[in-house]
Amino acid sequence: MNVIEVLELTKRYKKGVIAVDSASFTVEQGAAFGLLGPIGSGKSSIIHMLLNFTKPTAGSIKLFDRDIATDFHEVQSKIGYVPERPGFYGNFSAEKNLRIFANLYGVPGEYDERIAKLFILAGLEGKETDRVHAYSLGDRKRLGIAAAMLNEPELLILDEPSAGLDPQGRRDVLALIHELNVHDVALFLATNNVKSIAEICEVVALMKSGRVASPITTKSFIDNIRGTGLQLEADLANMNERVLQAIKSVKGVRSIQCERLKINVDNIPNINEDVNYVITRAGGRLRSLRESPSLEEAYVRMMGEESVE
Amino acid sequence: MSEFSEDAHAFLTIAQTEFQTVIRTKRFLVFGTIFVLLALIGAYYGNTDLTHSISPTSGAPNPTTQPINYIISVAFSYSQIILTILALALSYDALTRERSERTLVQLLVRPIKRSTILFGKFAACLAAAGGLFVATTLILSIGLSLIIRKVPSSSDIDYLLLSIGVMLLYLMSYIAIGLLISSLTRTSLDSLLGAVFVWILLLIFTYAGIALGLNAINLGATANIPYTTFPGYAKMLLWINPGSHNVAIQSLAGDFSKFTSGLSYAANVILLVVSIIIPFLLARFFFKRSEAI
Repeated sequence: MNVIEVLELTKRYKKGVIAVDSASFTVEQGAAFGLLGPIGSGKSSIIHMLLNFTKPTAGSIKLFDRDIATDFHEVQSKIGYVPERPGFYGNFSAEKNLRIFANLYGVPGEYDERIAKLFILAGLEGKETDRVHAYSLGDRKRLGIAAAMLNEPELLILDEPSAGLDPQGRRDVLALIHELNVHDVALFLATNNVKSIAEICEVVALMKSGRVASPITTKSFIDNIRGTGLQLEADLANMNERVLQAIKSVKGVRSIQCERLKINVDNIPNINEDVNYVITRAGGRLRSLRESPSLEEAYVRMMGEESVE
Repeated sequence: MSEFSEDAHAFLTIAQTEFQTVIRTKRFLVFGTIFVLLALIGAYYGNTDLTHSISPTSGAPNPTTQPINYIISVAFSYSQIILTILALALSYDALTRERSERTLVQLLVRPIKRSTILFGKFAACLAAAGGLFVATTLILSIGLSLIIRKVPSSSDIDYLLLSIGVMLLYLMSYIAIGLLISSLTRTSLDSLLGAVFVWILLLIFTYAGIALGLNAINLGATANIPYTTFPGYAKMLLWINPGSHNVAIQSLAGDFSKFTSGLSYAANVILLVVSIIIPFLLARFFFKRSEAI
């Protein structure tokens, strides 16, 4: 069953700005779908229409096979939403905030156990009674995810979940989201961060200037933007012939430029880990090993060059 | 759980959250304190009046036969303007605050009707401002009875309760106006400007109505304004302001024959109710049409 079915969706604002232009895509039950595009490409407009916050100018949206133009209330309790900056009543404790939102589902008291579990799931144990004003952005995001999971949704819509977070916070939040998907919650993730997509989503659709490209698997997408070849830039403290020979022995390594130890490799999974392993095993002391172009660099280059078709 | 009980539960949640939010605001503390102080000052001067054998005036409690109600009427006249400011101050950004703190999205993503949110906020503002007013009035009445050692008659107690009811209607009309402003604006600053503008506009309507009415009947400034002789357009201007229908002091006197603002007692109460319903329905209409973000 499709949890989301969007057909020819268009949103035109009053001043004639077209935020979304004939977008069509589907998201299957339990899938992790990524909508990837730069800021201002129209991702949030799509989310606002999915949540019935704003009406489409044209086209249709079906959630769980129900047309949301008429039956949104039928499916609302199956949806969770994590905004880019989740809002809370700052003067109240985190627990009280969750209790307020849980009460809106109309079952008083029934959520106590679930709220306690969600604090554990979100990694916020011990912070239940802290006022949300005192929460860091990362904690707010986690609390936002907990709030979105109160009703045990079958579809979780996330808007830029890792925006504004430090690398550790980003890793933690993405790990939490990934954990949810493992538990069969379908994810709709809108972001401009290609790494988030690569880490979480199985399917990705590119969005640019309101237009959404046909969804493809994330693997195909990464292959597309990187091409078949990749360069690894290694920074070694000690370079010697033994290390070079070890690198050459790795399957997928095409050639080595010794000047700054640039290793041309095939774009195959885990190649950087294999190279890392043999260098260390051969006694090389590796300070850093980075992919060139990085996923972000390749993505930015591609978005600059191509129009979305 | 039936749809009605789900709605009722959501309503109570919204009302409780809003109530706990507004009573912690500085504006509630500031305007609430000013209101209590003005009520106390009014009561003090009302009590002083009792020693000066003041002759009774039409539509006001008789200081000799209704001393407690008289003092309360003076307290009302001192404090009722600040009460309208308090009602507006609590409600003018009830929705825009939620919008700017992004909690509105958190509410609307759950199965809750927008009108339930609006009703919840209305009830919370009424509980906060009305609760303060009712508590102040009742404590003042009991305290005055003890101080001047006079127990009000049962009819005076009825009139007191009736006047409290009328004042609550008056308060509700300003809360509804505040919610209307909040539904029409996007930010708290816009809401604040809107509230100040509307409050001043209502005063202008009142004074313009009186000035035009007096001018039409060739009468100068006078204490006893003959509203009934005003031309229709002057009365209409007057009636726009819910304050012109505030018959709380008349209720305290138990004098239901006086034509306040040129209208009968019943007509004033009806118009007071209308001045709650119209802005509330408009607020509901605009809030339903507005975008959540």
